[in-house]
Order: sequence, then structure tokens, then C-alpha cells
Amino acid sequence: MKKSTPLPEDLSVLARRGELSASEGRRLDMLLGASRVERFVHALGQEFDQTGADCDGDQAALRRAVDQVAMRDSAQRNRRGLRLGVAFVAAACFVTLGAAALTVPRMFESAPASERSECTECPGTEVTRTPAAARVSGEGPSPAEPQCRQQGPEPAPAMTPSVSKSAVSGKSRVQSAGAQFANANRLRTVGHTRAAIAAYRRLQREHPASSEARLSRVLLGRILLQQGAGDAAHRQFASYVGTDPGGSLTEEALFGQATALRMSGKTAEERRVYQQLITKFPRSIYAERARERLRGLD
Amino acid sequence: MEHSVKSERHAGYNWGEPIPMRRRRSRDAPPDELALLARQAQQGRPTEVRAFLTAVAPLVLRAVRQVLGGGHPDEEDIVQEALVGTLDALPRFRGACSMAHFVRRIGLLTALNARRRFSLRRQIAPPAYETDADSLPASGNSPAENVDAERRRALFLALLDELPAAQAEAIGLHCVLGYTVAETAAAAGVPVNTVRGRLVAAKAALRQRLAEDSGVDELLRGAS
Repeated sequence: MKKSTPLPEDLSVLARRGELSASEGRRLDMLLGASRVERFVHALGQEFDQTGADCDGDQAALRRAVDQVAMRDSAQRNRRGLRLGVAFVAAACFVTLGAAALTVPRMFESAPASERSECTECPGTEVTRTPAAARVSGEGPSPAEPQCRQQGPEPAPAMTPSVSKSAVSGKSRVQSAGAQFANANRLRTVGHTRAAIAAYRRLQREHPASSEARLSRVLLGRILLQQGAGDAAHRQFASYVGTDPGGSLTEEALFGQATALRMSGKTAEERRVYQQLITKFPRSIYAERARERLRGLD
Repeated sequence: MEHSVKSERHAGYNWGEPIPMRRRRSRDAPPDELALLARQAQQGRPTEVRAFLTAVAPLVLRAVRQVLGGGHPDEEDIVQEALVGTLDALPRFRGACSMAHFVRRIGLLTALNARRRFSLRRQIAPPAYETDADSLPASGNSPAENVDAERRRALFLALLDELPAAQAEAIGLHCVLGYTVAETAAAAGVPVNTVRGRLVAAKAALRQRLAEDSGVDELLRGAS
């Protein structure tokens, strides 16, 4: 079968794989000679191939990664099974209760309310009178035989679907966490610090559990630090570390927390936070600064 | 560029998106053993999940390393993240590309996302050190060549952070992982001509970036 001519974009890729014929090699040379972007991309591609080469210790690292992920997957599947079981039981309960809620009121609604009256002879009992039409047609008991039955408990009110206000009013007016975060960042970048602080605080108030609100604590902490509000900054950083101890900005948050404590003159606590930083992130650039500061404190 | 804006623009990075069915692999193609392992892993038996992960982990590591560079301190974590992403995305694999390409694409996109997280960190607190020749992995080149290569990488990866997600993905798969245009199209689930268009746009942005960079002549000398 005749080999199809490769696209010009693919010549560099084929050269990297060593699958280029002599004529294709000449085409590639011409292409590289004519365009510096192609030259740049070709060189980059070769460098990326070199970068991806195996290193010592890869096997051990991969084994660790595979172990972790396999364990996590297994735990996740177990949890999913448990959740399915709970959901099934909950659904069964819901169906049973729903059926009961529909059946019980009907039992008490067998006669219209207008036809009910209390029996004078037996207090607590109710007399059900057959409607006139039924009497005329001869159906049902005679008027002389009023039926007494024990008055049951008040039937449960009929269930009506609850409609939330937001559903009635349509779209919620609260901005999404992402939009608020983007807005606050934009304000911070253009130098509107007070507006940025207000925006970050609003985000934290309206979406306290969002990842954006968590990230905003570090950003707001840094702004407050720059403004000399050590205590407020400390609260922000401490909140980040407290709510997300494994977060990607924990190093920054710990360092910011220590700096805020230093600003407030709380040396003992500052020392404790620095030590925590060094223990948790011994290879971090902040750890080096922390060690320096601890030496200074000693 | 502002991180949040970036993260919104790159919200389109979703390696779990279903791939259109129209480009099935040819019947003449060799059997995809990884796809077979993947199918078994989807049954959920721990030994089969582990076998699949063991087979694909080197591919993921290579893709992650190509983006982050050798010896990155968070490399192992990112590999784990990509492997978790791979398991999550398996039910949506339709066989439009090989399993190896599917997995490496997830590795690339996870690493690019991680890079953006790191750049947020740097935006908040710039690192106290700068890259120098001594810190770069030994490749048999001179220190000056290593620095040029590192600058080229940095320039290119910074561009990927700024490009629209679709273009960044196309040029990332093509240039970083070395996929042909057809392979890129199959992995991304779009027509070949769409990929070519995205590559043209991405290279135009790169050309613009090179024109703005004052030290580009040195970089291109290194590249020639």
C-alpha cells in the first residue's frame, strides 16, 4: 500500500520519532529554514522528548503512586456501595410513608364533612348520614339507622409540594463563587484595595464552603498584611490553615500567619508557626526564611 | 494575566468529555492491550485496577515530566492526580484513539492545570530563587544551551497558560507529546481540520510572543 504524504505539521513529529524518509527530511529542512516558529517548535519538541526520559527512582515513585490510587479507588467503591445501600433503604422508607400518607386520610374522608355530626348518645362518635340522592334511589342505609363510628384522630393534612422562594422568584441574585472571586481578583490587580477587601469578604460570607472562599483567605490575608492589619490578617491565614490543612497554599498561609504574628508582637506564637512550617515543608523556600527568623529570635 | 480569568478560560479543560464516535480506530490497527486492561479495570476488581494503573503509570509520568520538567518536587502528586483522573474518565473512553494517547492526554492536561496552580502560588509569593544553569537537569549540553532550552520551555509553557483551552490543548498534544495532527484530532475528539486551524492560531500567538521577546535571537540560535 502506498504511504500517504504526511502533513507539513507532522514532519517535525515524524522526525522526532525517527520515521522520516529522505525526501520528507528535505521537506522538513526547507520548512525549518523558512519559518523561525517551526524551528522553535521543532527544537522544543526534541527538548520535551529529552525531558520525559526515565530517571533513577521512577519505578519506586510509580509504585507508590499506583498503591495510593488503587487504595483510594477501592475505598471509593466501598463507599459508593454503602451509599447505594443507604439510598435504597431511604427510598423504601419514603415509598412506604408516602403510601401511608395517601391511604390514611382517605379512610377518614369516606363521608363529606357536611354530613357529619356528633352523635348525641355516644359522645366522641360521629353520625354519618347518607346523602338524600342515595336515599331516594334506595341505596345505602335507611334514615332511621344512622351509623356511628369511633372518631379517629385528626387526619394528617394533605401534603403539598413546598416551593422555595428562590424557585418562585426565578434565578438567584447571588453571584457564583467563581464570578465573585474573579471580580475581587480584578479589583486587587487594578489597585482598588478597599473594594477588593469588601469583595473577598462578601465571597467568604456568601459562599463560605467554596474553594474560592478558601483561596481568598490567603489573598485577603496578604492584603491585610500589607495594610498593617496584623490581627485581621492572622485570622484569615489561620482560617485557611484550619479549614484546609493540606491545601496548595498552606506554605504561604503559614508564612503569612507567622508574619502577621510578628507584626502583632506575638513572638511565642510566631515561633510555633515557623516550627510548624519547617516540620511540614522542610524543603520549602519559606522553611529557609523561617529558619533564618528562628535563628534571629534565638 | 490574572489567575481567576485564566482558570475560567481554562475551565474547558475537561478530559472526561465524551469523544465523538465518528472516528473509530481502524480494524487493521493492532489490538490495544491497554484498552483491554482498562475494560477489565472497569469491573472494579482491585487486582485488575492495579494492573491497569501499573501499565499506564509510566506514560502518565512521562507526560507530566514533559510539562513540569525533570525533578519537580510535586511530580509524584501530579502523577497520582492524573491516575485518579484516568480512572474517573475510563467510562467515557469510546475508542476513538488508542488508550495510550487517551492516558497521556490526561497526564498532559493534569500537568498543565497543576502548572497554573503553581503560577498562582508564584503570583502570591515569588520564589526566592531564579533558574540557573546548575539547577537544570544534566542533558549532555553546555550550561548555556541548557539555559536557552529552559527559557524556550518557559516561554512556550507560559504561552500555553494564556491561549484558549482548545488551542493550548492542540499545540500541547502536538508539540509536547509529539502527536500527529490526526492523533491530536482523535484524542481531542474534533475533526483534523479543526486541529490544523487551532495549531495555526497557536503558532501565530507564538510568533507574536517571539516578536515581543528581546532575547529571542539567542533562543532561535540555540534552536537552529
